Amino acid sequence: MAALDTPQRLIDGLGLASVVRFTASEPDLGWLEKLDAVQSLARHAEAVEIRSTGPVLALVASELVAHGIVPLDLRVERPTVEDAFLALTGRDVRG
Amino acid sequence: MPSGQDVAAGTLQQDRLEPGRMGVITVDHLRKTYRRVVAVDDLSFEVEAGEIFGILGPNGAGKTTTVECIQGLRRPDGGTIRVLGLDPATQAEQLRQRIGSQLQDSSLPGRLRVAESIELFAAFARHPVGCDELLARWRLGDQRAQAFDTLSGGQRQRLFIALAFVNSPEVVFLDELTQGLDPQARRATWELIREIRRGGTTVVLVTHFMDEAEHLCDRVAVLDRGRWPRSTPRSG
Repeated sequence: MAALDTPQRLIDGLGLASVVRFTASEPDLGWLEKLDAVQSLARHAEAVEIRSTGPVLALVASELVAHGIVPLDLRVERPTVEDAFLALTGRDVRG
Repeated sequence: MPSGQDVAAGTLQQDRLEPGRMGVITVDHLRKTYRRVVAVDDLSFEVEAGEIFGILGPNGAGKTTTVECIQGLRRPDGGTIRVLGLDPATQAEQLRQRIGSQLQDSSLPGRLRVAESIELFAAFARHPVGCDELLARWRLGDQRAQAFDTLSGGQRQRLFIALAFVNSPEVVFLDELTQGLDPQARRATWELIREIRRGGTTVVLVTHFMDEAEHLCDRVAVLDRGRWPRSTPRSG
């Protein structure tokens, strides 16, 4: 057996990252990358994607507001049982 | 002074399940092979009274085999299983009166009507649930006189679930519970399963729907081929 637990503890135990997304026209977001809570920041034009295992949404949100940026589409995708399942059983396609 | 009857009752008491102190289902070092293929290898877990327990795993991880062994439908090659204090391998008949199951690929004779199928299954049950109650609960009241052949995929699925509950089971096994159900019926089914659990029934759910496991299960077991896949990390 790969794991046995409540769905939430299964997810938490694997240390899977949350993803925070928003769009911003601000050219330089280097100050966000300096936050301890931010593990990685990727940018495709105006779309920003931040990965982290910590309480990243709250920290990023407060930092954005402090810089006068209030994106309407700020959101977080938390890891799911499906992510945990893939982490535990591999992503290779089988029968 | 204890009479013979008291002693017998005491013995009986030991065999009975004590909720909260002992698992409703105990699987200990289960092993099952088909010829040279090892379907389940050294699997151990316990399901507690009144929980919704999910069994997840990729195809071929042994989910269905495990549940079939627990129900006494297949004989393990190794290990021990106890369900409600019974050994499914040798006490399957007694067990069948106390568990319900909805199996994969179930099928009924095409011309059998919905109400007839429920009455047929109820005839084998010691404590049958009323046909009307089951039909109402699983929203099959309008289909009661309809032949199995003429039911939609979702109606068939609801009938298979209803049949799993016909004998007022203490433990119910649901294999791919919401396969083929539309989103409304899925949500309604989840709510019914929660309601059934509140009534004290233990639910074992085999599923490959991860959202279903997340919404519905108190605990999940993730099976994979091999015993401890995390100790042999894969790339990708």
